[in-house]
Amino acid sequence: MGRIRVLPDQVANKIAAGEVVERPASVVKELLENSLDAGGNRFRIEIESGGRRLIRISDDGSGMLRDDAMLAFERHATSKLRDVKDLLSIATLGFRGEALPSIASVSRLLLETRAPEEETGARVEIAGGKMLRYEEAALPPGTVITVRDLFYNVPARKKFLRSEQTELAHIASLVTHYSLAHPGATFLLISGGNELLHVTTAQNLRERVFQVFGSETLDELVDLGAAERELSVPPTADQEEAAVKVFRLKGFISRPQVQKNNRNSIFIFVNGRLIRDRVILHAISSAYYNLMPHACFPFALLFLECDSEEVDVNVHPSKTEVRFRHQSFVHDFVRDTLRQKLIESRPAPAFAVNPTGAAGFSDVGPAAPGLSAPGLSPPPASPRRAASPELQRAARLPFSEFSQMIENEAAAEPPSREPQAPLAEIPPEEGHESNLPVLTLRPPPGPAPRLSFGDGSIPLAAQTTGSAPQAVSGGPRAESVTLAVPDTHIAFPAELMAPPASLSSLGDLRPLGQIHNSFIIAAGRDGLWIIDQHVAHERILFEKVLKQRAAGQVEMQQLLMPMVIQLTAARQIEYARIADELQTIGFETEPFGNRTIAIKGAPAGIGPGELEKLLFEILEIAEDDFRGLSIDGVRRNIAASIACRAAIKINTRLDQNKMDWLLTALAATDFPMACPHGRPIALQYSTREILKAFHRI
Amino acid sequence: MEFTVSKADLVRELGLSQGVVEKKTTIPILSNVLLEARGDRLIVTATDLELGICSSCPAQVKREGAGTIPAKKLLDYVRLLPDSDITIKFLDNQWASLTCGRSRTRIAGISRESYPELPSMPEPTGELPVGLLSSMITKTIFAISAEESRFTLNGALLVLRTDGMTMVSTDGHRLAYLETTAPIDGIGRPFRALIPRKAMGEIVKLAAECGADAKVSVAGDENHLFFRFENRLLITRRLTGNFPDYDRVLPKDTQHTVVLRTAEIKAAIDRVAQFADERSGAVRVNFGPGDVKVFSSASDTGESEESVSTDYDGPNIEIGFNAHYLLDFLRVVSEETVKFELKDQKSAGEMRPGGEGSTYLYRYVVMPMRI
Repeated sequence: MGRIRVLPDQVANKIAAGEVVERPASVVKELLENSLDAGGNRFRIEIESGGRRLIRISDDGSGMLRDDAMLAFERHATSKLRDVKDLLSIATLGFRGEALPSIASVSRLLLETRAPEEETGARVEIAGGKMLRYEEAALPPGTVITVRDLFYNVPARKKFLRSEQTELAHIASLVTHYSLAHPGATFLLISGGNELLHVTTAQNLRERVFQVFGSETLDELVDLGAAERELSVPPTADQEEAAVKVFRLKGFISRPQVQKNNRNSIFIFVNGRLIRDRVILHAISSAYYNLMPHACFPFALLFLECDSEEVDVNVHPSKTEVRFRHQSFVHDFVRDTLRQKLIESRPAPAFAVNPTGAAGFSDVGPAAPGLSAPGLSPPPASPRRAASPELQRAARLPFSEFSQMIENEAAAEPPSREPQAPLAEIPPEEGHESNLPVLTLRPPPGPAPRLSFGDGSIPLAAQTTGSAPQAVSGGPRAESVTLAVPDTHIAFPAELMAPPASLSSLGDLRPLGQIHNSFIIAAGRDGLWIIDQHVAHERILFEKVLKQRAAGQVEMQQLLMPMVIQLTAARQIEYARIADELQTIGFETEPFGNRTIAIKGAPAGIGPGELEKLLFEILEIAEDDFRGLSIDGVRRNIAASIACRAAIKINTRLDQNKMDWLLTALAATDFPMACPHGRPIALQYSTREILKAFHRI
Repeated sequence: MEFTVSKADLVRELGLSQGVVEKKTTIPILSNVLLEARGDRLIVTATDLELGICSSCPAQVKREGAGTIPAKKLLDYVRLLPDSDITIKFLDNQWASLTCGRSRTRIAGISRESYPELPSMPEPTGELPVGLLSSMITKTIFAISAEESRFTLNGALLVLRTDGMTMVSTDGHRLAYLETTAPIDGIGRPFRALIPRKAMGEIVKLAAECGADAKVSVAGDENHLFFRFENRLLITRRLTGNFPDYDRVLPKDTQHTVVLRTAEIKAAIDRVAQFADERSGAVRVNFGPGDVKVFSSASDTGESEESVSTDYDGPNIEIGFNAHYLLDFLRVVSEETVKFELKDQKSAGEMRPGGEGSTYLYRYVVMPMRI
């Protein structure tokens, strides 16, 4: 007898199960996809013990004919494919004909199904791949599949399962995703008798997003609308005629202020199938490039529809990867559409006036009690607030003196973040700024220690003179007002209740002044704005530098004395690599002996003092990032560094003209909402919020 | 302490101290002036610990002593008083009582005990004509770097030789150099120091109060510089560090000289610069036979061109410059003509005032821009 043997089906199924059925969520995925393929409209998913004990999925779809019910458990038995040509244009979610036998081989499975055209249905019971029972039964149309004791006969796999909560979270997020892809259907997810997700038929995607994530999240999102782009495919060997393929993209993306630490909030559906695709992920990143800090990701919910011939889904057994026939076209289409929308909407971040608003993304929509976040954290866990924008640590941002300052300050203060009080209720901070003015003339306390002339260090003790913190007798807090407030004020003009903020209105703002010589306060028709002057100027310069670079009109100021700087060996190599780009963007440098370069000229606007730091910064980026970046990416990074160094710093007094100029110039930029490093530029305190805080509405 | 002083004297001395009084009150006492009545004079002292001014005026002193009063409040109030004598008396609780005609005021003061002690002036190194020092400062102060990161460039270099003096300032893009050519008496020994910009500004103010042929005594110790103008003394911290080797930067081989009328070229650049980039101020200057053209263009605002006639007849040279840099120089030149000394498009341009017989050599070097 030869050594090579053909494996019995049962073994083959178990091997296939290793690929397809990895965890309870995979079972749910396969079965739910079958149900969706069956054209059902109502889906009910019941889970017990995180899917280990029970997974039951019911639909009202087309069901199976009695004879088919048996056949379905044969390997490679499917109704979705007929011949190899069909494989090129798969329109259904499933197609391999492997899922049911695989699942059946590692669990106790009960299938109950009836096709509407038959009078009776079938009940099939299988355990560990062995058929136990087959009978005709009276059933409603549709299919119910019950999977019990998953992996009961594969102890190794069972051992590797994570906690029930984790498995449940996976299932919950999976069902959530499919519910988003099918807004017209009803989904009900029950775990151990608790309703985790219940969404009823929605009119459109927007309504479904509201059902799943809630209104606060919806406010943070930009609707892509329906974008379309045509691709004309030239005739090929096996395709005679030239064809025009239409790609459609819809969905939602978050404003750049919403920053996530990982890609878990990016959902990509291609023809209704949830996938992870590097091409599209990259397209999203490039759309947000220079709008978001490095290593931060947006929330995105994208639905790409295209001709099924344009996408190959038969890449991986779990069907989470696809290949596009025209990969770069898809990439550019997604990137351009997103970028365009971001430009058009120019969304402005608002103040977090109520605590939930701040963490909108992490909070659970009303329709999904207990289901926390589109991410994977289990229900009882606290919402992952860390991802919300204002809780972002300054350290995560690229360097700026001010972020450092903020960080230093934050370290000094007790973290008063968590039970964040509404704006109106924040008690005055203690410290000399909020001290009540001293009204009486009285000699200040006795002589402070004598200061010595020429001693730059200012003794701290001297600063405290006469400013012992005074207890602020709890001011009139908003809550404590119980009396009816007579409306002695005239009604607020309705037209001032402006529509939602958009940064397009930046140009109409009237600057009122500065806070700490760092932030411009401006009044607009739609409320009060705070603009970070450094970051705003950085954005203006960044676009200018790129424009000049593109037009070949770089302004370079020569230096009186060449500046000689020392490089490390690694930086020397990076320098050699980007020397040409440095040259075109306005640096005149030349090698000056071993590991030394001389800078003879720099982009206009960079002070000589900043120059050395700037060059090191650029070379440092080169070491870290450039290897993976295209030449365009290199250019943008250099431009961002130049802009940052040339921009007015915080702690700089600006006169009215300068502020006016800054706001006008900012409004004229393409992306007035974030600096090239991704920090937000402007905050808005809308008239509505102001009115609310004053109890006028 | 009690003394009487004329309003005009007090207002003048307080006015001189205003530039020094600390505006941001991190240390409350630094926003006060120190008033000392001694002999027959009132001594007014103000400091921000970087810079100090000590001046005096005649007063009728009834009782000697000292006290401090908020400088701004005092000046604002005294200015409004009628022109007559003011009597100031410090009370035991450090309050000052001011009496002038029928006005009576009490101002809260702080005891002088906590007021910083200013260092005393050592033996002067030399005496300089006040007018000369002041005009040298005005001709170099604008080229001082505003960047705080390179503090050796935050001031000007003053070099005293036994036969004259030199002042140099630079910000890395341009350099202003001024050297006296006529001998100066009264410089005892060579001296070299970096003077902070703020001190330079105060020197100009103090100089304006002096007579035409007054002298200023200069002295320095390890950390401080002293400038004594008759009855006023300015003390400043000395900047440390190495000033760049300016000699290397001064062009030695310029080949072409273009002479222009100062007012014409200044007005032309001023107008054209309106259409240059806000920040870089980039304008192009074309030196050609017969006329000099200045032009600028900003892609989003517009463009502008002017020409100024000259009797230059060398080759065409077109150089980009930061208009602000050129204007800074043209604003302080008092001569009717200016000279551009040029080599080529890529080399430093030099500007000098035209005219013969001045007592100083003034050179201003500006690096070109590649536009």
